[in-house]
Amino acid sequence: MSEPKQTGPEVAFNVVGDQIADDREQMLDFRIDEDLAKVATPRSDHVIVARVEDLFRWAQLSSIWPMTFGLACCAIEMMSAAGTRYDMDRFGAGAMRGTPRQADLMIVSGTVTAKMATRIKRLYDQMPDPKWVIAMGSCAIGGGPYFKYGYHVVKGVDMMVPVDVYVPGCPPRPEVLLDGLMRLQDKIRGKRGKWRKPKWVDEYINTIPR
Amino acid sequence: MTEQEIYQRLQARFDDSILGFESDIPQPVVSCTPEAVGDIAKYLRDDPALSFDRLLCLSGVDYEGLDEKGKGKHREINRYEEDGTVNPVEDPGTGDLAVVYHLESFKHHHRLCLSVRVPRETPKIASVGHVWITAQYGERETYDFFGIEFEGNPDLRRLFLPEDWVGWPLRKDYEMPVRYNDVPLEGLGLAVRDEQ
Repeated sequence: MSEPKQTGPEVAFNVVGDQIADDREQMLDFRIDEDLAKVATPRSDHVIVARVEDLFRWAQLSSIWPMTFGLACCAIEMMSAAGTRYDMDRFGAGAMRGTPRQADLMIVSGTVTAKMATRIKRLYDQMPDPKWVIAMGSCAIGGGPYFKYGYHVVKGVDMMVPVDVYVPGCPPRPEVLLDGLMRLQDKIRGKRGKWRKPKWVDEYINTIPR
Repeated sequence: MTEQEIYQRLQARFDDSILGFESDIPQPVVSCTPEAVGDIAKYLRDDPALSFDRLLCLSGVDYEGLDEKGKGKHREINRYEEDGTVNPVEDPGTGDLAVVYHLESFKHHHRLCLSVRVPRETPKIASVGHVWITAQYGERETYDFFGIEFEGNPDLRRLFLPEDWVGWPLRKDYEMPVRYNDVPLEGLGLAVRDEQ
């Protein structure tokens, strides 16, 4: 019985390599800044000139390590975002760490109770600089449904720790969390911007009976 | 055995301790005095004709605003205002507190609801933790939220709230806390505050 003909590993490698070369243009979207994009080419013997600060920022935003840290139902969506279907690892944020000392992003996913708030503060203090915080869901943003009668709920985790990105929703879908992650990457990259509230938001809020 | 028969059987055994029977509601309720709860619980479990071998639920009730028969208007509970402030509570409550036991028998497939009222000033009641082990946690929870003391419970501490928490949150006259140690509990989140 003759051996089946096997394709060598280099064939597969070449296919992947070609695809990488083809995708190189799109990968430049993930660039450090405009000047760098002009000099960055697929050739490896070229020299990239950039500010060290920008290079560090690029490294930081490309490998955000979140802390494995879930408080309530939002944590289910966060797990879903980290799972195979949404795959947060595509954006370099898939390395969930079990300890705050190895993490640089805290996703506060859920209701912050008075009992938990002291622990959140402690965990935040244990994280090494630079560190970022995403407030995920209505509860972490401002108390959410527990605002009126929640004697045990902190009305927003920003009363305890500084928050970089607010991700609204109750709970937010994984896509929204991924969007929040990209807004955080924008922030690390140095883009500044203010979200402008559309006019219809206030008009809509005024129609809600109290 | 129907609830009516269970009530008659209990009344024959614990004459004065059984206070009443309310049957015109979906789940009929037998009420008794707080002193006799331990004996009644043991009898309910051990009597072969009753054999209530499972405690489904142990919960607390605040009858503030309601009269002896449970009629009247519920007092509105305190809350945080829209700007995040707290209103002080002027009048403390005077209504009774109550502990409600929901029992079930796997053997006979019947159920019973036992209600025990305790005065608000001295909310003390005998523990049934030695009759149904489950009750020990239910009693801790009820103690946590209503401040009802179960005498004889081996480990009566707060269950959900921190151990240094002040007050009994599910009582109608509970005043919403401004802060807990270093944690602010009133006010708007900073994001909301910036926007205004």
